Amino acid sequence: MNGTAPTVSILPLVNQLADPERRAEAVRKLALLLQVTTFVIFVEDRELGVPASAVGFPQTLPGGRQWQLFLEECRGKGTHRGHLPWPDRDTTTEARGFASDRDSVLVVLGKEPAPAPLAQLLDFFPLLTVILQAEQHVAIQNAQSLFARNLAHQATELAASLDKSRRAAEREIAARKRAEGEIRRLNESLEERVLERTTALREAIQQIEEFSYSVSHDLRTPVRAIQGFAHLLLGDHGAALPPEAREYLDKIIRASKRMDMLTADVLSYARISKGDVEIQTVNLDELVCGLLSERTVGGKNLDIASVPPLLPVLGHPVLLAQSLANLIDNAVKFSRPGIPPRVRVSSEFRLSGSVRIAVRDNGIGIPQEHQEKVFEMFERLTLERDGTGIGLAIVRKAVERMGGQVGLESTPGEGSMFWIELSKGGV
Amino acid sequence: MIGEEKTILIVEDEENDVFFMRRAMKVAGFRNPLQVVFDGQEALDYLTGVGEYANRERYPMPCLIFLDLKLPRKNGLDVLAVIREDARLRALLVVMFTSSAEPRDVKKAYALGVRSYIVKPSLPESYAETLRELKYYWFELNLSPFHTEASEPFQ
Repeated sequence: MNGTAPTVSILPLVNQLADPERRAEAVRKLALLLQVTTFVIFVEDRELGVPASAVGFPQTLPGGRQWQLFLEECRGKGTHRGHLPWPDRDTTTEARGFASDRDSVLVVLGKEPAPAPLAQLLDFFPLLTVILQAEQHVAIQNAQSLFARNLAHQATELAASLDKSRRAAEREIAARKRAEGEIRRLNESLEERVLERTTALREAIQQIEEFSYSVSHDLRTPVRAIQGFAHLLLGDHGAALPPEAREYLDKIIRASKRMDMLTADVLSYARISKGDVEIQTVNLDELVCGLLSERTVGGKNLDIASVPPLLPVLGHPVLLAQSLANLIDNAVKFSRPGIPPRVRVSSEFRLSGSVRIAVRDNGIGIPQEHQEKVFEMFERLTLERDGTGIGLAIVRKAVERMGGQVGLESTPGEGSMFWIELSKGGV
Repeated sequence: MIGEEKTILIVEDEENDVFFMRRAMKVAGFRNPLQVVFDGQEALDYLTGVGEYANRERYPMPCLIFLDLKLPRKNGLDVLAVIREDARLRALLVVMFTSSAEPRDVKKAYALGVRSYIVKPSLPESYAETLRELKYYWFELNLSPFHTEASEPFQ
């Protein structure tokens, strides 16, 4: 303490400094008294683990790193002198640091401070440190309680928003349930409608089939009468008739025979379309063997054979026999002029797990553009061959009824391969 | 031939078919008297002796009946059903003679006790052939009630 300087007590200013509201004014007045630019007090509370901060003093210090090093020097040595960036990072100002026993540091910026006020300020410095630390403590607590309040507030808000979204979710679920119920009802009524339509359609189909059945049935009677009488006429009185009349009779007989076949085929098509088809394992070997022997009976010289072993399939013995009979008969019928028909029946497993039964011939073949149509009803490719145009339609219908597929591969002038695919049979 | 004096009843509504049948039976060598009725009801009247059919001198009980399936008034299956229910008629030999090869019809006919089911042939030659076979079976191979003197099952 310098006794020569006018002794002005700085106590009121220190008091004022302790009051955060009047602190800025006190700093200004004290700096004036000290004849320095300004001063900063750094407080560090190690107990609370709070880093150094200039409580109540300029919050942002230019060139933070340099200040930090300066403060460390002060704490290490008690006092330190140097230059610090102030009031901005491009200007340096002379600085003096004084550390207190509680790691607080007073940094005076500017030229040599007036010794007497500095000595007084340093006397009050420990007390000031306690006050500032307390202030810092309170600030922290306030901050903490603010944080807690904020947290509580946020928690409440969160809870409220959770509640809100829960209610929204409930509303959503309820809406969805309503929608689901609506969809279910629609589905049910749709199913009902589909069922109704299906039933109506099935009935219509059944009626059509009944119709075609009874029409063909009733048609057969007069046709057979025409056939019968024409035969009788030719047989009993043929000799008495002129050749032209016999020729006409022949035409009547042929036409009525065709008509009879046609009605018979429509009948069997209708029969296949009707009723349940019980699917069972069919021994294809036996079935084809029977079909082949029927066709070669009486020493007929036909080159038709199976390629053993024929694999068992799932089907209906009667439907399958009729289908294969139609395919084999076609294969024989549609042979090339001058080339005896050669027919082979074989079977193989397909990748799909089903069995393909193939009927191969060396006949006239079917042009590509007609291959799609041959399975259609009344579709005939040649005029000169006997046929009703129903044989392959019967095959397709029968195979459909057995849950299988039909198809063909053919090269005109070389031959055809008609195939039927059915599920493989049990052993 | 034993039984050739016995009457055969034909139930057939189609005149042409009756014609073919008569002719075929002649060709096949049947000598039995033939009676023809044109519908199912008339067939039942004949068999149960209703009205003029009560005269058994004129309308004897048949030893064999050829029954068509599709008939006016009562069809063949109806006739079979009545015959089956009637103890006096049950022993009658009924052969279905029809153009229907429907599995459904075949099944029903057998369920109603038909003795045989023949599909009408389409040509006169086959008609004769079929009836020749029938004659051989029913009158020569098969032993029927009318083969024995003691049997007069239809009285």
